[in-house]
Amino acid sequence: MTRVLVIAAWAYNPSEFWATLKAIRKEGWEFEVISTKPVIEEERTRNERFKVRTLNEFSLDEIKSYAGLTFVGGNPRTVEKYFYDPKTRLIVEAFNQLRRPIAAVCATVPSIRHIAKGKRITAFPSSKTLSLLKRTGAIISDNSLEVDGNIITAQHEGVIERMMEELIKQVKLNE
Amino acid sequence: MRIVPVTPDEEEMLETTGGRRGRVAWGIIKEFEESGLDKARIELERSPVSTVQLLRAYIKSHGLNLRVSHRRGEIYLIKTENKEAKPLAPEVVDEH
Repeated sequence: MTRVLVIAAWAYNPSEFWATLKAIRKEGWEFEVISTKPVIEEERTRNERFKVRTLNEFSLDEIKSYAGLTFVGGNPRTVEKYFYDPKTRLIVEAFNQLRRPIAAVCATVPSIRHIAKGKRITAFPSSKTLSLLKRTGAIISDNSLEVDGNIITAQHEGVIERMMEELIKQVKLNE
Repeated sequence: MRIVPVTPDEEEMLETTGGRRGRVAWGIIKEFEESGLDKARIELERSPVSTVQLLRAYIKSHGLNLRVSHRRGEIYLIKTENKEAKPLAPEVVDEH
């Protein structure tokens, strides 16, 4: 069974969250959501709370069992936790070494900046996001969706379905 | 001023935190829970402005399913829905 790993902000954006999971379910695949906290909740209403595994509970040995990785954003402060988190960096680098597709949307894009040197990417154009990406040598594009090898980035949640279509296409090609 | 060595009784007492509760908020919330009411007006001889802050801080730090309302100079305590976290099963995604 194909499995996709989803790293979500603990205060998640519902549009990004459900669109991501629905796209995976549509293929009949399995997903696993991990976050910095054991309970994640919808960013505005604080309802729809779900128990998930934390990043600390996730072992790097498990990465081989996942066909792809995607990020889900949310409250900016909870998203920024991933920018400097060493475990997130290790997970992203391990997926990249296996040449498995890695997708990030909107403000989550700097979480994958360590593998984006010389790659064309797009992201939510906030000053923090752009400065982090520029510092790592990524080629920042103004397109709403960018695909450069196994790195798929979307500028905003409006193109998340297209981003997931691309991730699914790459997973199928790898199979 | 004098520095006095502690007695064995005091030594034993100091080994624990003493189970300190909120001096004001704990008493109010305990009585409210014991009343069995879902909503209640709290009549106090304290300033409502400071009491509301104490209650809100206590409820937040203890993760209680309660809400404090301060209307027309009165304090109200209201029980809220229990927001339990559920496992993220595939069926939950299909329902959306």
